[in-house]
Amino acid sequence: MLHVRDLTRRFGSLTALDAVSCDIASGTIHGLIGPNGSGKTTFFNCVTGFLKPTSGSISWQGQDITNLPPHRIARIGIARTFQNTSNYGNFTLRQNLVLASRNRIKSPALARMLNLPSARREEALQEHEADALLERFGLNDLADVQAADLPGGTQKVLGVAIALSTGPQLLMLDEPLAGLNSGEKVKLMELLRDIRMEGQTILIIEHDMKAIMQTCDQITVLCYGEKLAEGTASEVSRDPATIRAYLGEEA
Amino acid sequence: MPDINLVQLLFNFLALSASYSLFAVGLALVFGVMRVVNFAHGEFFMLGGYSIWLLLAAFSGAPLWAVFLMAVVVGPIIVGIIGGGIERMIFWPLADDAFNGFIASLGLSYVLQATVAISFGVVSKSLPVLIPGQIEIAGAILTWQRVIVILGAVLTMAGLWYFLKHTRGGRAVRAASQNRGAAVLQGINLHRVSFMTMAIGAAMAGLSGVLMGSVLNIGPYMGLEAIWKAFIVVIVGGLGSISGALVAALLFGFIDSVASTSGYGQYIVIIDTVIMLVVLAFFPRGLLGREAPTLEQGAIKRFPTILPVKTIQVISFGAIALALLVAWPFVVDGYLLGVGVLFLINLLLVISYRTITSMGGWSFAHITMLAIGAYTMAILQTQFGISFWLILPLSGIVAAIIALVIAWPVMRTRQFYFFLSTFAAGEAIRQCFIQFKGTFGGIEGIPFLSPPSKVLGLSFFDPVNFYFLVLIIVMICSGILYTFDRGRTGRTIVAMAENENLSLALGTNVWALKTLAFCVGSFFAGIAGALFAGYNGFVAPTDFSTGMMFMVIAALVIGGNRSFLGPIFGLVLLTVLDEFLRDLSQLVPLIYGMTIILTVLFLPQGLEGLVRRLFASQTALQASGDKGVSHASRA
Repeated sequence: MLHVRDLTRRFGSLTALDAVSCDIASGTIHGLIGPNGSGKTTFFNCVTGFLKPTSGSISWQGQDITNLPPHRIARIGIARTFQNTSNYGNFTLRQNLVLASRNRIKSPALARMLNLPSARREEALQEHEADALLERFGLNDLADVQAADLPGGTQKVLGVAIALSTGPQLLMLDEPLAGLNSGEKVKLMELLRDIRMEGQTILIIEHDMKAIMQTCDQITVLCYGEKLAEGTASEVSRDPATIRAYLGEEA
Repeated sequence: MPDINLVQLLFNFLALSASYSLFAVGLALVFGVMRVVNFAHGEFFMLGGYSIWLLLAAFSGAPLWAVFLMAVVVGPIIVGIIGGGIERMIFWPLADDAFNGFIASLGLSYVLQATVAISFGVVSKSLPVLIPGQIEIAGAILTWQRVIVILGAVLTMAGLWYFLKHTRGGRAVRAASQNRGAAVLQGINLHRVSFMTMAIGAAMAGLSGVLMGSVLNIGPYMGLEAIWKAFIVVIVGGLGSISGALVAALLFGFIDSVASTSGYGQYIVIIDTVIMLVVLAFFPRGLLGREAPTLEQGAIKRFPTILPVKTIQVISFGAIALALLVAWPFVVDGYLLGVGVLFLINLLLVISYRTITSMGGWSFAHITMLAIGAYTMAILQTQFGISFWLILPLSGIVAAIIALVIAWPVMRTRQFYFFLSTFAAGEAIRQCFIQFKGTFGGIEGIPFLSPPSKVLGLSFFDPVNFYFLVLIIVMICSGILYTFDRGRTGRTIVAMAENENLSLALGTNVWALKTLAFCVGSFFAGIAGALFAGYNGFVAPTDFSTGMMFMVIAALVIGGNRSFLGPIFGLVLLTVLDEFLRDLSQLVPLIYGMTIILTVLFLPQGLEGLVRRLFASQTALQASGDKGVSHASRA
C-alpha cells in the first residue's frame, strides 16, 4: 500500500538517505532497523511530510504523496509517533485521544467553534471511544491524569494509543519500546500483534532485536542511509551484510 | 520626479546602512546566544544618545569634538555595564524560557523610557553640531558627522568580526549561538558568555546611540523608531544571523535611500513592511536564516493542573461582575462613567487578544485592528452614511480580512517572527492612516462621528444609554469568545500551541488554525474599534499608540492567559492602578513595566496562576487521601 522509490535526503553534504526503495504490504508489521544514524527517523520524517525528500517518490494507495504537507498525509490515513513527547502534556489522557480523533470528525466546523450541541454530542461519543481504547492499552485508570504526569514508559504507550486514535490505515511507530521495562514491552508487542490481526498495517522502528524478530513479518535494514537487506526475520538475521553492520567486520 | 543625484544616493545609502547595521547586528548577536529578542535594545540606543547630551551638559565649556570623543568611549561602556547588569537580574533567571525573557524585555523597555522621561523630560532635545563641516562631491553633500557614523560602523563590524573569529571569547559566543547544550558540555561557561554577549550587544546599541545622537534629536522614545527598523532588518536577514543582519541592513539602506532621494521618504515604513512581508512569504526564515526543519520546536512546558471550576462558581462570579457593571452608571459621576465605557472596550480587547495568544503567537497588531475597526466605522459613517448597526459587524469583518492578509506570509513562521512581523505591519498600517490624508484624514483623523440613532426612543448621545449599549455588545461578544474558547476548536488551538508537530501528525492544518485564531481575535478587536470611535466621536492615529498595545499585553501577562478569567483580572488591576495614578500619569508606564518584569520573574502564571496555586494547595489538603490511592495505582 506504501511504495517508496529511490528516496534520497541530504542535509548539506551529508546524505541521510540514499536512494532507499521499500514497499509496505497491507496487513503486515514491517520493521525498520539499523544502527544509530542510519536514517530510520529521516525515512519516517520524509514519508510523513515533515521533511521534503531531496529526490525520489512516495506513493500511497496509488496516489503520489511526495510533497504533501504533514497534515494532509495524516488525513489520508498515515499516523505516526515521535520519539519524544508524542502527547499533549497539559491535557488528560482522555482529552489526548479525543484531540487525536480529528480525522473522524463529522460535525461542521462552525458547530465545533461555537460548541453547539451536535459538536458536544460527537465529542461525548469520542470520549467513549477514547475510554475503550485506553482500556485496551491498560491505561483506563489514568484517563483523567495529565499526560505530562505519567512516567516515561507509559507516555510511550500513550503515544501509540494517540496515533491509533486517528483511525489510521498505516501506523508508524518510532521506537515505541524505548524506555519500557520488559513486562511493558511484552504487553505492547502483544497488543501490536493483536491489532495487526484486525488488519492494521504497522511500520515500526525499533532497536529491541528480540521484539523485532518475533513480531515483524518483513524487515528492512538501513545502514548509513542505504538499504542493506530486506526480508523476513530469519532471512535478515542470516544476511552477511546485516551481521557486519551490527557486529563489525571481524564477525 | 526630481533628478536623482547618484553620488548623493550613494552617500545616503552608506550613511543609512551604517546606522542600521550598527544597531541591528547587536540585536542579532544577543538573539543568537540568548534566544531572546531584546525589545529594550532600542532603549540602550536611547541611553547612548542621552550619554552624549549629559556629557555636553557636564562639560559645557569643553570643545565639542572633545566631548564627542569622550561620549564615544564612555557612552558604550556605561550602556554595556547597564546591559550586563540587566542580563544578570532579568535575562539569566529567565534563560530557560525565551518567551518570558522577551516579555520582560518589553517591560524593561517601558521602565527605561519612563525613567528617562521623568528624569529629563519628554521633549526631544536637539544637540549642537558636534563635528561641523561637510564633503561635497558633484553636488552631493555628506556631513562629517555622517562620515563618522560610517567609519564607526565599519570599525565596529571589523572589531566584532575579529572578536568572533579570532579570540577565545568570540569562539565561545559562536559555539553558544549554534548549540547551547553542546557548548555547556564543552565546558563553556554559558553564564559568562550570556553576560558578555549582552554587554557587547548593549554597548553596540549605545555606540550607535552616541553616533546617531549627534545626527538625530534625542528623546525618551527615540528607541522605538530604531527598534522598529532593527526588527525589520533582523527578520529579513534571519533571526540570530549576524551576516543576515548585515545583508539586510545594506538592503534596507539601499531601499530607504532610493525612496528618500526620489521624494518618497514619508512612505518608507510602508515600503519596508511590504518588502518584509514579501520576503517572509518566500523565505519564512529570512534571507540567511539557517534552514530549520519543521521538526524544530521548543521544550514543552508543563503547566500546573487547571482545576475544574464548578459551574456554580462561574455563574456566581459572572453574576456579581455583571451586577457591578449594571450598577456602575447609577453610582458614579460623568468621568467615571467614561472610565467604565473604556473599561468595557478594553475588556473586549484583552479577551479577544487572549484568543490570539492561545495559539502561541503574541500579536503586536491588536491595537492596529482596533484602529482599523474605528476607521472603518468613521469612513462608512461619514462617507457613505451607513447605519451604525450595519457598521458594527462590518468593522469586525474588515479587521479580520486585514488580519488574514498579514497572516498569509507570517503564519508559516514560528515564535518571535509572528510578534516582530505583526509589530512591523501594525506600524505600517498606522503610517497609512497618517500618510494617506485623502482617505484617512492624516494626523488629525476623522471628526464628527456619532453613536447609533435612537432605538425605542433611547438616544445614545446620552452617556448612560451609550454605556449600556456598549455593555450589551461587549457581553454578547465575550459570550461568543467564551464559547469559542471552551469549544472543541478552542481546545484544539491550545493543544496545537503546546505541541505543533503532534498536531500536524494528527492531521491538524496548523496554518489554518493559527490564522483562524488571529482572525477571530482581530474581528472582535475591530468591533471594539467601532465602539471606541462611536464613544470618542472622532478617530485619530495618535489614539492607537504602542502604549495602548502595551496595556493589553500587560493585562495578559499580569493576569495570566491560561484561562478566560486571567486577562480580566489583569485589566481590572491595571484600570484601578490607572485611576489611582491619574495625577501622576508619567509614572504609569514605569509601574506597568515594573509589574510586568516582577510578574514574569516571580509569578510566571500571572495572578490567575497565583489564585489557582492557593486553591490547589487547599484541595490537595482536602483530597490527600484520594491522591495517595491514585499514586499507588500509577506505580
